[in-house]
Amino acid sequence: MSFFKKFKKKQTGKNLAENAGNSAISCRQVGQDLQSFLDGESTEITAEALAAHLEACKDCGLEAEVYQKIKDALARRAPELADDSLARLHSFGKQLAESGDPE
Amino acid sequence: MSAAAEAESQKRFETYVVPETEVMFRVAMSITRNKADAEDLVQDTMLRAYRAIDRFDGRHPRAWLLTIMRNAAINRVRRKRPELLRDPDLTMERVANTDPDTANVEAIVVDTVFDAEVERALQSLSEKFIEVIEMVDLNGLSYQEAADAIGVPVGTVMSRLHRARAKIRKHLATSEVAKGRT
Repeated sequence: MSFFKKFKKKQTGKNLAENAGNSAISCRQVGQDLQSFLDGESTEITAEALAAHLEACKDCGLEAEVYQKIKDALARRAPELADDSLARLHSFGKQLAESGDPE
Repeated sequence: MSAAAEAESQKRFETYVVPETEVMFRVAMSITRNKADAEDLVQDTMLRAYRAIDRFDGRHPRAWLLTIMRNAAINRVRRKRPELLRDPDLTMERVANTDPDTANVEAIVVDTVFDAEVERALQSLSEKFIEVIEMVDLNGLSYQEAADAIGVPVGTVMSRLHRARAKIRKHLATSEVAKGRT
């Protein structure tokens, strides 16, 4: 399964082949909307048209793949959260929820 | 406040605020760059949220909490940013400690090289670009949530984020890693 078929499935849950007719979108438009699409911020209609275009257009498909790799690399920078801090914060929240405002 | 009202506030707090603890801590870490300060900021945010919970309409609790956090953070001293570059020793340790039976070591090494190049590009960006990348790509916020956390319009988040990634993309295009892989 190609990169964008996987993406397509993730975004809309539909088979790409069903939407091949929606690929009437220009490379320029893809360039404008690509990052919002990769962030899951496109409307469903735009996402379907983009996914269809990316599957059909090699250049745009490769461009999207590079941006996805950049996103993945950036996401890997997320630091591990300190367990002790999180435990204290959960405890603080629970205490507020059970006992109310200390003041 | 009556006992019934207090009980209702506590219930709403449990429903809307407690589940967002981890996200709040992630964003607070991005804002403060310091574990202790981040904890203080989240606690401050929780207290403010508790005191305002009876006025909250129940829609978009994360966005509501991030707005509260931003307001709380505005009054705090902005800490100096630590070095963004990940400690190279820790990076190598991560590679070395990976079980070769369960992971593709070569892929990890290649990823590490790619990640280092992305990191280098990231360091060349100004703080306002790094901020949106952290909110969206690291903390997993939506554009609207990032806008609420930073205190700028959604369009500004989109513009900064897309330009930031385009700059990274441009850097990669001229780097050795791009010549070899992309």
